[in-house]
Amino acid sequence: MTAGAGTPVAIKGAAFTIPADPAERPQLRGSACPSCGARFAGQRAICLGCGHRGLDECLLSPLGVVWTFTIVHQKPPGAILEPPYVIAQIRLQDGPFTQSIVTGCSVTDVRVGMPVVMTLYDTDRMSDGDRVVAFAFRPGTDAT
Amino acid sequence: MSIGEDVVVLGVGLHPFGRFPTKSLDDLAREAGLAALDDAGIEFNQVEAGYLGRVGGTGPPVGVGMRIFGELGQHGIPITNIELACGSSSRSLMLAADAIRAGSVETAMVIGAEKMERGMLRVGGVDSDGYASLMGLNVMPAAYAMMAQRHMSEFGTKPEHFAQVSVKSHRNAMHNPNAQYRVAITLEEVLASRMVCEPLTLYQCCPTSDGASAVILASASFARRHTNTPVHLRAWAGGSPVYSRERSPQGEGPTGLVARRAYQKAGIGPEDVRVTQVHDAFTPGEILTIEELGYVKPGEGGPFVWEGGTEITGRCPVNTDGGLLSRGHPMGATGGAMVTEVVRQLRGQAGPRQVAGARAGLVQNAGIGGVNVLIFNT
Ligand SMILES: [Zn+2]
Repeated sequence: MTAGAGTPVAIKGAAFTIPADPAERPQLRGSACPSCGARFAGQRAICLGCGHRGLDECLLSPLGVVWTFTIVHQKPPGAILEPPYVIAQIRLQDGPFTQSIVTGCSVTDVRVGMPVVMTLYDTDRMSDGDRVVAFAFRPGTDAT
Repeated sequence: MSIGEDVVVLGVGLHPFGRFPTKSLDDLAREAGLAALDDAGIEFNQVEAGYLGRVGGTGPPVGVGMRIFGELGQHGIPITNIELACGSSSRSLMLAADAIRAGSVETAMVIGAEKMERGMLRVGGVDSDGYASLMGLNVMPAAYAMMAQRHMSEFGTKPEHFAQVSVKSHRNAMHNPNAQYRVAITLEEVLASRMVCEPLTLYQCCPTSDGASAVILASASFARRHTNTPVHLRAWAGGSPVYSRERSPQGEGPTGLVARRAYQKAGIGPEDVRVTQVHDAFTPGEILTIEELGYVKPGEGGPFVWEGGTEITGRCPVNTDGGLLSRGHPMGATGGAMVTEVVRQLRGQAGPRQVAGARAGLVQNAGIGGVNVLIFNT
């Protein structure tokens, strides 16, 4: 991500870590079931797998694979991305699915089954003097 | 009136789908309602319950059903507003049918109506500075495009297969005076139209529309006094997403599961259905749904459509009136329009788009995860 003035803050509507050390990977915040082990992106109160009430907060794996994707060619109202860009459903290594844009490669290079890693995405927007940051996934594996 | 009676579709009616800037939602709804009453051969004061299916959009959000049914007459019946996104009016029909089968009422009327804005449908509300809006993630065609890409990856389905759905739908709509688009388009034109979300081009996306539908249901004993050729609503089933650790929560709901429930209740199988209306908001809707309904095996939907299997003359005619793609998709009105087409087919009233020998028909209507399957026969 590009360096800029102001403290980076997570965009409204998404929950993830923004490590102070750029060498560390950002991670999505999720929920983990203490009973059956199922994991979910975002905050949930009740496990969809076993019905257990009261899930633990957790950090999800930054690694995943593209489950499916599309290349968007028409700009939706209010979006900051310029088409063409890729939306994908990503299956994280520890189980849950999440939806994200894919960056760091040509849009025509994205494939079902492609390994991806989570990265930060600077929105070039400010909020109360803070830099608004979103997340994306880019091609890559544990080694990269 | 008794418990467990068969449910009959006594009347159907539409206001044409398209753009009607000089007409209000109430105008559309009233015209459809009157058409259904005329078709049923009864007066509004014989209707014992009213259900309005509508999503929202422009116009007052509260109490719309009371106002719309109140224009047709005021004799004290219960009025209920139902919202299940694009599946609102088919779910309304299911609840009306439940009331008749339970013996609560002998007749019920469902009106579905919508006036929509132009432009790309977005999923969920408009949260202008939230993650999904800013990052361009909440776009309806992208959801279907991702279903298509997964299908292409798993089964080798081709972009041309999806495009062919639109060619067929447009050809069918030419024979439907209530359709929004009544022009034929070629495969080349569909594929060459502006790319929206790969593999879906503009002509593979349903339009936004104004329109209304109305359906009158009655108990079999009531219907016997008004028709000698009843079309029965034989079975109905609904569902919502089923959590799986193994598959992404994509799609328009568990159509396969809901269809199996409906077949079981109807005592028939997919091989008995002769005419079908499915939720083709975008072209993958037809290919994926005919697999889930059991008309073809998983992965065979694309080639089946390509070879004409869902044409009016094919083995499984689908969306004989043009479907959402060409008939139009005023969200709250769509389910009732699907039912209207199946009923006209089963009565032999479909004119140039008539399916030969149609004795049983099926409607699959979906709305953001909620899915309804209704089975009709003569
Ligand atoms: Zn659990």
